[in-house]
Amino acid sequence: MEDHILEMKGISKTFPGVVALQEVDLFVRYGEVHALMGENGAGKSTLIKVLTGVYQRDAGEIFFADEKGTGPICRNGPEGASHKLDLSPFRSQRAGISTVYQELNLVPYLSVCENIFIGREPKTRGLIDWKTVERRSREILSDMGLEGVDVNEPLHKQSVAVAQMVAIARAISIEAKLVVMDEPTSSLSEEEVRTLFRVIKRLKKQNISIIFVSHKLDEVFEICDRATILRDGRLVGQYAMRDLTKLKMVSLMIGRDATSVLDKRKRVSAGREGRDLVLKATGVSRARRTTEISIDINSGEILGVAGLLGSGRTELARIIFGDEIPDKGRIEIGAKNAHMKSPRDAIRLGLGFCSEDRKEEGVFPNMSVLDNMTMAILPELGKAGVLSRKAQLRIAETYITKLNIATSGPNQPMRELSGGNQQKVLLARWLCKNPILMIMDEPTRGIDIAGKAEIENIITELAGGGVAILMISSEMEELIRSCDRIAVLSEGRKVGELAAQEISEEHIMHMMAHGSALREDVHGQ
Amino acid sequence: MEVPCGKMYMDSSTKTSTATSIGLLKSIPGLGAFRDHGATVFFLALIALSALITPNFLSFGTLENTLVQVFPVMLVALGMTLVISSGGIDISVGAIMAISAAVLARLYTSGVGLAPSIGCGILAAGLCGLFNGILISRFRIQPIIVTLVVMIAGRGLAMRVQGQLSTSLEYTPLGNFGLYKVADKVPVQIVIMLAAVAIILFVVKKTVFAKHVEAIGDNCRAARLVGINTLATTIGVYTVCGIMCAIAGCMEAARIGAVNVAQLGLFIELDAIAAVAIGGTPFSGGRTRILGTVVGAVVVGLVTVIVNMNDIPSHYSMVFKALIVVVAMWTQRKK
Repeated sequence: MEDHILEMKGISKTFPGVVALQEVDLFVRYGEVHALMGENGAGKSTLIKVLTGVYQRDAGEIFFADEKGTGPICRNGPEGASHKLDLSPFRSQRAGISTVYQELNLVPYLSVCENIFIGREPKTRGLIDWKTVERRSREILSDMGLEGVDVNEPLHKQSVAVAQMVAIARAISIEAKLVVMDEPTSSLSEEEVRTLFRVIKRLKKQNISIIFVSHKLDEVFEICDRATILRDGRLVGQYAMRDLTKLKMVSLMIGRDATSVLDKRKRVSAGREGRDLVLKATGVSRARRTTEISIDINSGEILGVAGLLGSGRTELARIIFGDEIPDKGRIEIGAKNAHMKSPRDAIRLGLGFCSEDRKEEGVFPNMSVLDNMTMAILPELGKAGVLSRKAQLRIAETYITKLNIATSGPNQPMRELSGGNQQKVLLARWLCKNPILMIMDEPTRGIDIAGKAEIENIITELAGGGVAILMISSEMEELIRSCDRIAVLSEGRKVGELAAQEISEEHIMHMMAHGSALREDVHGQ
Repeated sequence: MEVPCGKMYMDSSTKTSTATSIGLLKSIPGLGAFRDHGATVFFLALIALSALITPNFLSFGTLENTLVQVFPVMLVALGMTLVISSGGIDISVGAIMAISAAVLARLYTSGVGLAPSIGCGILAAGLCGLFNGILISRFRIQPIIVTLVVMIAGRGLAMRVQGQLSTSLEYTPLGNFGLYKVADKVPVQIVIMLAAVAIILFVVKKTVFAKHVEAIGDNCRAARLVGINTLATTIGVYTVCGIMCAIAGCMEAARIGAVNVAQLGLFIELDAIAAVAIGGTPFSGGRTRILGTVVGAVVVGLVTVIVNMNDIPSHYSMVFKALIVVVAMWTQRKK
């Protein structure tokens, strides 16, 4: 078919012990935004890596149209089996396929413009033409609505969101014909997502095709034209977005009826009477990122914290966990003043913390599931510093069963687990310590829908057992489903708090956007 | 927030991206085995080669000789393994050996008893390790810089302590101890070496401390957030390494029967790091392979012995060691 820029037919890929892809097709038209959907482990990333030449496929054909669209340039089908290794990352990039990976491939200590042009700097007489690099970088970024960025500043001084945009800028500047975006919005704020979508629309107008991978259904439905859905390494089908509803898509992705999973507001608030105050923070401030925030949580209660990126929500979590020391304000744990100088102090007081950034702040990738799970409780497991492997194993086996963790065994290295299962291990790390307060920052980030539901259930059960929970999330539906109360932060301040009966998406959005409650009777401050 | 663990490579983004492919590589049986047991493969290959080309190689004398020669490298490499699995490195080990020997020689020859002299030697080395650890964890200076400083200043300090070019210990109880053979057969170095390996092996396999060390090496930020005392653990690691150097330094002084701090332990950091590399402890931290290091140290020692026994000029042994390290790292590379 002539109107396809990319045809991947019957792609199979097997890793030792795992069939990652089984006869999967992917057809992308010119100038369309094509969603590649599926749960974690469905094979999206593998398919993309086959396309970009990071992995070599075992079987299948890939056709990618050349500049004029007259013919395939990478015809490595069965008839040309000897060319099977031809599709390298370099070749696929040269052919016009450009990728923005989920984990950013950027160099933090180089400047913004160096990052955009790294590897293909314009040269005059063999030397890098810095003026052109800077000018072009500025043009590209201002095209994307990022005029304020100093292109000569090192990247690590920029926010994650800017870094993400820089990665996209690099992909675009290669003059790609097909841009693959793997979870491009996972660290972007609402406004930045808008900017990204404007950029995507502009690319569409230039007849550039985009493969868009995201867990966020709203975004997919907003920006995408068609979708290819994968499940367990197989093709479920290819659909036009207008023929799909969110519910249908979710059902196709997880292979069963989704209504039970995406239940709205199922939590019945336990009420606050007769419960002990676990955490009381009063007027907590630090630097300019959190100003005079006060919250309190009772045992068995789930307090949600809503707010945009940069609203101070993560900083608040870190302060309560003793990772950052507040300049002002008091924190009381169990009605006693808590002077925490480090997370160690907080843990001693019975706190647990699951970071939003599993990779950087949670997992020990090269250590076993067993060690990862028991790391916080290790000192208590042994006598005089000699640890009991039996006790370790007992805990690991208990929680692997209890939380339904998919692992080949307690000795499997943590890095081999999927995101959802890693998160369960990290939850187990704290559960086995019987905390009185759990702080969860984005507990379901990057986890597929079935996994999300499971983790939400664990959290709810935990609260049922009397644990106080502070839950931070940028997914409003998640907060609405799980929380008893929701505190809304904006620009480092608490702008209000919603009680159970007041919780709705509308209220929260209004507070985040306008810094005040929708109605007078919503009690705040 | 910056983290006080003294990771050698502060940029963690480079490290994790390769993680998935290692898993795949490991699951290919033959290649995986070679990856995991590269040191043993070398070891066997070296022995086979030596047996072929070296006259009288397969004899008890050679074995004994090799093990006694390997002794200092072995002890230092054991300490180095802990340091490397915590994500750091210690290039001051040779200088710390010299310091401990200098303190020992100075005190011992001026009439202090044997035990207090050795005690002070070990104490001095422990303090050097403590200094390394504090600068790395508390003041967040890169391990290679801190230990470079101690490496340079330490040997100067050792010379100052010793106060003379060479101190003879021959025919003293200390000198005799260095040549002592348990049951008239087994050199005392071999016994101490076995004990050290056993103790460190126990520590690594069985203690909370070692798990914390690996955790810091694997993900320092996460280690802080699970409540590990990263400061104390890091300081502990470098102190243990310092003490291992002290035992190596004092025993070498005793065996040689003289202390010359300008030479004692010179370049041993390279042999020790090579032993750890051959043994398969990853330099990105997070895993400790003590038995690998043991084999690695013997491989490094064997090269010297083979070169000597075959009348090859000794400077070639350095080239051979370098080659082995390159090949070892190649077999363990992250694809």
